[in-house]
Amino acid sequence: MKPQTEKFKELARENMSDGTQRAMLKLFPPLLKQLRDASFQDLGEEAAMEKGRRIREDAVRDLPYLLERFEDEVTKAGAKVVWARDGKEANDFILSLAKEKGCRICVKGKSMVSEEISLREALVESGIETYETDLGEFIIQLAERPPFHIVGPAINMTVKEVSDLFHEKIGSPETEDANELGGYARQFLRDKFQNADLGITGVNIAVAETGSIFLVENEGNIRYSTSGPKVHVALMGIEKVVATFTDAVHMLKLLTRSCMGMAITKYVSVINGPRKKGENDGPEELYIVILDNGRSRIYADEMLRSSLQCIKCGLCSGVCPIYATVGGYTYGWVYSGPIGAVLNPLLLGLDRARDLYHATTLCGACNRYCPAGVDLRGILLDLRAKEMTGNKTFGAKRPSLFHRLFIRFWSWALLSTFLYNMGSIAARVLTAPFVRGGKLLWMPGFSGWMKARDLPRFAPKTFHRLFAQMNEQR
Amino acid sequence: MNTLKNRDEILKKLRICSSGPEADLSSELIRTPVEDISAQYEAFRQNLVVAAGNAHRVESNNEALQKIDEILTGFNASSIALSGDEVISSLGVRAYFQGRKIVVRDLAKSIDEHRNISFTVDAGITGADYAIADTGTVVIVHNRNNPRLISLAPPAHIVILPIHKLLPDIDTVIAEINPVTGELPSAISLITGPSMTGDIALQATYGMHGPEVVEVIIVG
Repeated sequence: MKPQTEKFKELARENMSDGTQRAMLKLFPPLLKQLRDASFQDLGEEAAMEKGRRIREDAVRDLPYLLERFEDEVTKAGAKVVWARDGKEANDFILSLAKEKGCRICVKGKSMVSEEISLREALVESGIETYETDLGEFIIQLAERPPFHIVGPAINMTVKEVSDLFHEKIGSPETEDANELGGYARQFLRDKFQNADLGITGVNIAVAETGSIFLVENEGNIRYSTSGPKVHVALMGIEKVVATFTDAVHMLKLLTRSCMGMAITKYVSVINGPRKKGENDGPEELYIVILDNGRSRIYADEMLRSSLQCIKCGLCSGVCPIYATVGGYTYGWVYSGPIGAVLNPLLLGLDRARDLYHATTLCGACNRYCPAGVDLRGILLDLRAKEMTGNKTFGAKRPSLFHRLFIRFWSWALLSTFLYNMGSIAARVLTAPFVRGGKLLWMPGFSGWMKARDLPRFAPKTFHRLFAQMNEQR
Repeated sequence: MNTLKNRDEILKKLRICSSGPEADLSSELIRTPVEDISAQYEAFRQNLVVAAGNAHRVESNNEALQKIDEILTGFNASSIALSGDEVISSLGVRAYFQGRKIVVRDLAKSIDEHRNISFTVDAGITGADYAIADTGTVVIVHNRNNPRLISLAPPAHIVILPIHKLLPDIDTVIAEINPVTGELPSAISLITGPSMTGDIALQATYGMHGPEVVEVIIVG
């Protein structure tokens, strides 16, 4: 998927003027949040969240060792592990595998990491018929749009829009019934499921102890992709592994609840190697592609490391006031919401996505609800710090000399009582001409910042002054 | 691409920064005791109904067959596929439908035949290894006798299992499967009601890719 993160402001403006989307955003996140809260009641929310944070923190701490054990166990179960340093290596491997095995039709389950490396596009380009089979992903594949939300990729589209799209692309009759539309997609894809020879999925949770992978879904498309085709490729980032099977079960409970407020999804598949002798279905061969793609670089930075604890539940979007305003497209790439404001810059380079981590209120709602203990708020602040210091590892471009000098001057002035007092007197005098009806509308040097904000005018007397007067009166 | 070289390179980068390993790599198995089996069945049924499926409790194999008959008649099914696991093979489904209009397909001998059957019959009838009361889930441990597509490709899935396989929660089921010492099967499916999506305008659509009907019959 081609990044558009440079266009954040433009996209924000465009999306905020989309009435349907605004209406959906008013409805969708609060609803999911309610379902989530209700679903946590039987679990003992606080203890369960704490345990989840610990499992993911420990797993990321022990990451290299867990990956080795995972590889051992997967290999014992008869599957093959392939390591890829970047998206191109992963794609090249999967393409050459498909060629070698003579695969023609590929059914694909929803996988964010495959969007990250544009795997579908690469498969299609090399002539392999490739279908996204999750309904939401199928819709955005046809519409050639990016995912709007990590969990609900097409959730912003109306029934009418989907109906028009299906009519145009797969020739189904027009309808106002979402159920019928689901039926058309089912009919279209059923034949693909029956004849596909390559199944590609992501991995929700990988287990070091047993070499198992957990796949979570509601539609059944992932079960088809892992049952019918002779080759199954499961693609995972290096961070997906947890220590034990029971750790995975606990994360599963948190994932389905945080994701869509369900105690369990319709289907959970636990895969352990390819089909065994005598079995009539399941793949003959299972390949697990473990992808780095910039993650080991994130791992090396202790401030950023907790971002690898993310289990991609999408809840941070659901509780984020910025997401609720600008919507998912504005983040310009695969990941949206607070985790997108963290991962998109880290994976693409800070200078290509700087608006994402500046456009935050730092309210910390994402931290409060994250079931995996990602310090989103801390990382967002750290990204700003990395920008100021021109961090090369993550492609930060230092701000202009003027900006840096201004900040330097600002912190110097704030540290001196004398300068602070002088400044507060000067501010009153200099801003006086721009006060209208008790509001300060403009300040020299702050025109950009003031464009969207009005401040109350400065009080006639400073706090220091008032405090001194109060003491005199006593 | 040299995957071994990549492996070493990636792991080396991670090892330099990792303070591990500290975690214990052994699952902590938790079992919740079964107290009142009837109450547990009722919880299972209610949770499955919330998940848009249905549950029935019958006393004998014969009653189970009658229930299957009733369900199949309910949606005019004319063909069924059977799994070959113990529960199903001891039930005598074929004999029961002898002389009736319903075509009964046993577990196929070949992969292609199995696929064709699964994609064309009106209902798949399988056993299950466990059921989970607090979520309304059935758990199928797949093997040569209980393959994957029979519970997935037909528009209806009828599941049968004995009541002592109904356990309180997922943790207890995992403890029974025992990932610590046991050899794991190639796949385990946890199925909670019919296939569903909310991907178009958040409207619940059942029978998205998998079955639209899931009926669980618990014997005993």
